Amino acid sequence: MRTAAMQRLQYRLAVTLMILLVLTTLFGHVLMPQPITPDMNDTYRWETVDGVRTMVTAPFPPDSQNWLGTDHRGYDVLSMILNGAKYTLGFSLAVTFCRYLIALPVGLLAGVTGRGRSLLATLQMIVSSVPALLIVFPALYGLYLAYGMSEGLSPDDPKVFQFMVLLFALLVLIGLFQPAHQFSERARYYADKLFVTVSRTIGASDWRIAFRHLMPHLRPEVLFAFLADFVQVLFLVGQLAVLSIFLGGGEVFVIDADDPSSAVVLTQSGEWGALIAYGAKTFRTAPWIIAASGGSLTVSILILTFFSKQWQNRLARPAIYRSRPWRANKPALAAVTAAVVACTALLLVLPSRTEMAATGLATDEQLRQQEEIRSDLTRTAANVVAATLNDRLSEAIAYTMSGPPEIKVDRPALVLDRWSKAFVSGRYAFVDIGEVRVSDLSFDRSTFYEVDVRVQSQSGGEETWRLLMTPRMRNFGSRVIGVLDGPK
Amino acid sequence: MILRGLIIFVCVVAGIFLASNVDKGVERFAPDQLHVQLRGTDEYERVLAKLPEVHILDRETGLVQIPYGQTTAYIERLREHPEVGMAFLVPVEPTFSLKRYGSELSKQLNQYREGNYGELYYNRAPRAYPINSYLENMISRSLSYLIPALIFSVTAGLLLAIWGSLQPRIGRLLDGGQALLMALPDFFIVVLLQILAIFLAKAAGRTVIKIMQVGDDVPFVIPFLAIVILPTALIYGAMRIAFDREWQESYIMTAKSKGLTRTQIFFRHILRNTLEDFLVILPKSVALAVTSLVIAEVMTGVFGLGGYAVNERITYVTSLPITCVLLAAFVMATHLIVAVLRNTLIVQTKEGA
Repeated sequence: MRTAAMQRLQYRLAVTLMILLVLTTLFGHVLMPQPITPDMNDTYRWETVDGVRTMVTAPFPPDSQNWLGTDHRGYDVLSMILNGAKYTLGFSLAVTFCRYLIALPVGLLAGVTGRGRSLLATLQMIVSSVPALLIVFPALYGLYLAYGMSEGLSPDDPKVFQFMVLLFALLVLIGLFQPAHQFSERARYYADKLFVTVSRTIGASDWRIAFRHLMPHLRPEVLFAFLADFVQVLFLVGQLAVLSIFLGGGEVFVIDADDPSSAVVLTQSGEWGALIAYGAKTFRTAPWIIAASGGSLTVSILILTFFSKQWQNRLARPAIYRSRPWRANKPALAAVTAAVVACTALLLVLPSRTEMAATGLATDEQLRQQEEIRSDLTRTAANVVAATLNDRLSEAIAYTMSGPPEIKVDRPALVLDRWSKAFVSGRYAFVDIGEVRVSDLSFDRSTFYEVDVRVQSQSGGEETWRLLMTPRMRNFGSRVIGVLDGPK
Repeated sequence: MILRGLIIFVCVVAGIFLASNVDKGVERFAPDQLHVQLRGTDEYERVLAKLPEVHILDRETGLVQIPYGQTTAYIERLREHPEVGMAFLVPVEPTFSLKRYGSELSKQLNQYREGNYGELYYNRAPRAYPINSYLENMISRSLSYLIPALIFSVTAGLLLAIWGSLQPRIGRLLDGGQALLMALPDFFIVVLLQILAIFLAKAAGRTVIKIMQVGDDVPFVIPFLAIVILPTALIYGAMRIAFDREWQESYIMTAKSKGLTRTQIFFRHILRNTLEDFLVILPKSVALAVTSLVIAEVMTGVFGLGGYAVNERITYVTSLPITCVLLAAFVMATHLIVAVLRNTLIVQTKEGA
C-alpha cells in the first residue's frame, strides 16, 4: 500500500515536472528576467579590487542580478536559456516527430506485408553498428564551414535556414531505420495473430490492418519509443554542440586576444546548443556558461526520462493509479483552467522580452540597426579601454584593424601604448564611454563612427579622447581603425 | 556471417566517406567572378588592361569576370598590381551540385590512393600539415585511455551487476544510480569532472587532476572516467535485467528446491545463461565508449583521434573521413569478435540448430 502511494506520488511529480518543462519552453521568452536586446547588455562594471576602483568587462559570474551569470557580451545567461529552450527542445521534438511520421507507417506496412523488411533490418544494422556521431559529425563539419556558419551569420540569413534544414534532414535520416525496424518486427508479431488473419480474409487492406488493428496494440510502445528517441535526439544535439555544430547563427566575438586571437560564435537567440558550444570553449574562464546550458539540457532529459518511466509504471499497473474520470475530477479541472488562464494572461499582459537581432520585427528597422551598431561600438571601445587600463596592449590591439591609408589618423596599434602608460601611471582615470556619432571622415562609401572616451586627468579636469571605429562587417565585431584624440 | 559483416563494414565506410564529403558539392562562391577594389582610382579598364581575359561586369561594385574555376590564381595575380586594393571572392547562395560532388569524390579517392589521407590547418601556421605523420601518435594517445577504460567498465559493470543481484538492497541503490547516470549527457559528465578537478585544485593549492592537454602533457583521469562511466552503467543495467529474468525461470526453482544456495545458483546457472546478454551489450558499450572518447577529447583539448578536428589550435581539417573510419573500424571489430564468440560459446537451442 505504501509502495502504491509512493508510486502515485512519483507519477504526480513526473507529470508536474513535465508540465513545468512544457510551460517553460513555451513561455520562456516571457519569463526572461532581463531582455536580450542590444541596449540591455551589461558590458562592463566598476569593481573595487584591492582598494582600487577597477573596470571589469563581461562575462560576469553568477550574482544576485544575473543568477546564472552573463556571457561575453553582457547578456544574462538565464534569460538566454529561457528564450533558447523553445528552439532546442522544439527542434529536437520536430526531428523525432518527423522520424516517427516516416518510420511508423513504413515499419508497420513492412511488418504486415513482409515487403522491405529485410532491407529495413540491414539498414538498421548498418546505422546502429557505429555511433551516430561518427556518421553525422563529419558530414556536418564540412557543411558548417561550407555554409559559413563559423563566420557568424545573422539568424535571418538564408544560409542559416538552409544549414538547419540539412541538419534536420540528417538527424531524421540517421534515426529513421531503428524505429522502422522495431515497428516492422512488432507488426510482424501481431500479423500472425488470428484477428489479423480474419480481417485479411474479409478483405481488409494492409493499411487498414496496420492502423486499425495493430496500432491500438502498439500505441503505448510507440509513445515510449517516441520519448526515448526524443531523449536520444537531445543527446545528439548536445554532442554536436560540443563539436561546435548547433542551430541558428550568431555573431563572432573575440574571447582571447592573444596572438592569434581566438573567437567564438555567440548565439543571439540563446539556443542551448550554441550556448554549450560557446561554454565548452570558454570553460576555463567562464564555467557558469556550460554549467548552465548543459545543466538545462540535462534537467530536461532527466524530466523526460523520469516521466517516461513513471508513465510506463502507470500503464503496467493501472489499478493503483485509478482515479476519477477527468470530467468528474473538479480539482484537476480547476488546476488546468487556472493554468490556461495564467498562461493567456502572461501572453497578453507581459510582452515578449526577446527582440533578438534575428527576428527583425521592430517597427523601425533602421533605428534598431543604428542602436545595435552603437551598442556594438560602445562594447568594443570599452574592451579596448579595459585592456589599456590593465596594460594588456596585445588584447587592445586585437580589437583594432588598419583603416584605408587615405584617412589620415593615428594608427591605433602605434598609439594605444600611450593610453596604457597614461592610465597605468595614474595621470588619467577612465570615466565612461561617451557619445557615439557618425564621423565626417569617409572613404569609398564606407561609414565610420567616432566614439568618445571620457577620462579625468590628475588635476581633476575631464577630457574626451576619441576613437575612429568601423562598425561590424559580415558579423565580425566592430574595430578601432584610428585614434583621433588621446593623452597629451 | 563473414560476408554479411564485410558488407556492413563496406556500407559503413562508404556511408562515412560519402557523408563527410557532402560539403564538397556545395558551391559557395561564384567560380568565375571576383570583386576588385582599386586604390585611389576608378579606371578599371586601365588597371585591368594587363589581364585581357578579365572582363568588367559592374564598375560600381568592382565586379569582374574571370576564366571559370581560377578564382585563387586570379586573386593572387590581381593583388600583385599596385593599384588594386582588394580582390575577393563573390559569395553566392550555396547550391549543391551533384557533378561537382562526384568530381570531388573522385579527387579524394585519388588522393587516398596516393597515400594522402587529409590535412590539418593550424591557426599559427599558413601551410597544411598531412595527417599521416600524426596518425600513429593520435591512435596511441586515444587508445591509451580507451582500452583501459573499456576493460575497467566491462569488469566494473559486470561485478556491480553481480553484487546487485546477490544483494537486493545494494541492487536497488545501484539501480537508482544507474538510471541517473544513463540520463546524463556525456559532455555534462566531463563538465562535472572538470569542475570537480578545479575544486580539488583550489583546495589542494596545486593541480591534482589535469583538466586540459598542455603541450604533450595529456590528461588521463578525466577522459578515462568520462569513458568508463556510461558503458559501466549500460553493462550494469543490461546484466541486471538479464539476471532478474533468469531468477524467474523455472529451472532456478528446481535448483532451489534441490538445496542449492543463492550464490551457487548464480555462479552455476545464471551467469552461464546470461552470457549471450553480455555479448549483445558489449558492442553497444564500445560504441558508447567511442562517443564518450570523442566528447572527452574535445572537452579536455586532447589531440587524439576523436577531438583533434575541433582542437583550439586547429582551423580546419580535411582528414575527418579517415579518423572517423578508424573509430568506426574499432567499433566494428568488436562486433566481429563478439559474433565469433557468440558462435563459439552460445549453445543454439532453436529447432534444427
